[in-house]
Amino acid sequence: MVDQNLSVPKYWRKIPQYYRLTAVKCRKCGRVYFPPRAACECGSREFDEYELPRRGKLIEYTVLRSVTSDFEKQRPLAFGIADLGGVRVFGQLVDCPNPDKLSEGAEVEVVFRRVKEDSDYGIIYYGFKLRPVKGCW
Amino acid sequence: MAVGIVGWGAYIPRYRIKTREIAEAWGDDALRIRDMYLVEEKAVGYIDEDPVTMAVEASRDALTRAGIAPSEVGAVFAGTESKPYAVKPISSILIDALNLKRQVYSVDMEFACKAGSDAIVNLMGLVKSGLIKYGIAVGTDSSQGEPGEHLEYTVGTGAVAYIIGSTNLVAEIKHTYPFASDTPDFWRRDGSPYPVHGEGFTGEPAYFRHIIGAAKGLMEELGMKPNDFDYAIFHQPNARFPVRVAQMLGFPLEKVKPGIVVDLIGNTYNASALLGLAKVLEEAKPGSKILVVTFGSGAGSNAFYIETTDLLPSKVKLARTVSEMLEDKVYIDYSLYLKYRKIIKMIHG
Repeated sequence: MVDQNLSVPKYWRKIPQYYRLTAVKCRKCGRVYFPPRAACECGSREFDEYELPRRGKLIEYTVLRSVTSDFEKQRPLAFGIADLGGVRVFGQLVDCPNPDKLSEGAEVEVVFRRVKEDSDYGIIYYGFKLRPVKGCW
Repeated sequence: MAVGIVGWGAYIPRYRIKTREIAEAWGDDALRIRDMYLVEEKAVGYIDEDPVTMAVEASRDALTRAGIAPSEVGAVFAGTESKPYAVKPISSILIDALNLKRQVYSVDMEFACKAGSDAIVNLMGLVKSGLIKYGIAVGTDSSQGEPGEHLEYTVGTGAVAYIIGSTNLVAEIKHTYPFASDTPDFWRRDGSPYPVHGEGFTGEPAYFRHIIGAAKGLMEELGMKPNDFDYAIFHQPNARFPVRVAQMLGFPLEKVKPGIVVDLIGNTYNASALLGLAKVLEEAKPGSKILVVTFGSGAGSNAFYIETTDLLPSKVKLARTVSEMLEDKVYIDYSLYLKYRKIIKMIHG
């Protein structure tokens, strides 16, 4: 899920996270951080890049019917927290025309989608979203 | 050097609209429309889906099936006629979405519905020359059909991706044959929201002449006949044309039917015949001989002679199959179709 009101440089810097869920894994203790951190809880500052798995479980979700103006035409919006290989990630839930059918524990997959666009002339922001594997309708 | 397909991936959006639903909105006879095109329903991308997002999904599955590291890819070519940006490539977005290295030949290609297959031909050349080890060819489209016009009944949404290489092939591309000319059958002017047909040019001078020219040329060069092939797959602007061209070339219906997907998802333009090939790869036995002929308006065709290898069956279940995606669907009505395709013009968009 791309942050709202992003400037182009800010979006560009976060492309690895928005596009590929690129986390970091501590070389010393193996902890994984998403979004990446500069220092691990163990004190180490040495990390390797680590892409989160693209399938996981839905832990929590909520449905918004009052949304910011950029997303008014997409109401209702569903958002959820998914467990992707032990890392909790917040994202928009899509392909879910009936959010009442969502359930905690449902299998979700990471998909690549448009998040927003700056009018008809500006940049299109792409990023990850979460999709219930078995749908919700 | 043998060159061919190392992996493949496809993507079909979940939403579908019945052609009957569209016919009712515009007062057409739904049975007559179905009889004309033999298209039952078509795939519709959601508001947040476009040729970029679908290309990413298909390419990820292609890499998974190929079992190669993204860093081994030396080129990514995307064929489309519905780029979200007039100027800004899909292929460069693919580089970062797929985590390819920076040293990658990348370009978007346009030749109506044919460019995805041109991407394959070009990558074959780069692999054969030793310039790259693997390349990704993408065909992706979410093209336009003007509301109330007949094109709206068939224009679908989908993407397909092929990893082209020379090792661990699931199918060898043994021969190619092009056939192209300046034929004004279908076009979309710069800045125009919808394409138009050249009256009377769609069938005989365009689709049939070019596909038959490419298919016959390929078979003549190889000394092969329709009987030598197990499958024949043709571009699918509707379900009548590929069946008709198969008859004209002498292929029986049972060799054409497995590769037809347009009846359930519509014409996916640059993904059309190549999605049919993806479906056939899911069921073909090793050693199967496949003829694929693409077509793009303007106009041209590429014919391919493809033979599957022993490696093929082990790759099918490694990613989403076309057959699964054809079944994974939810129907929408015409109002949601207009909304999802952003056809309704709004001041507060």
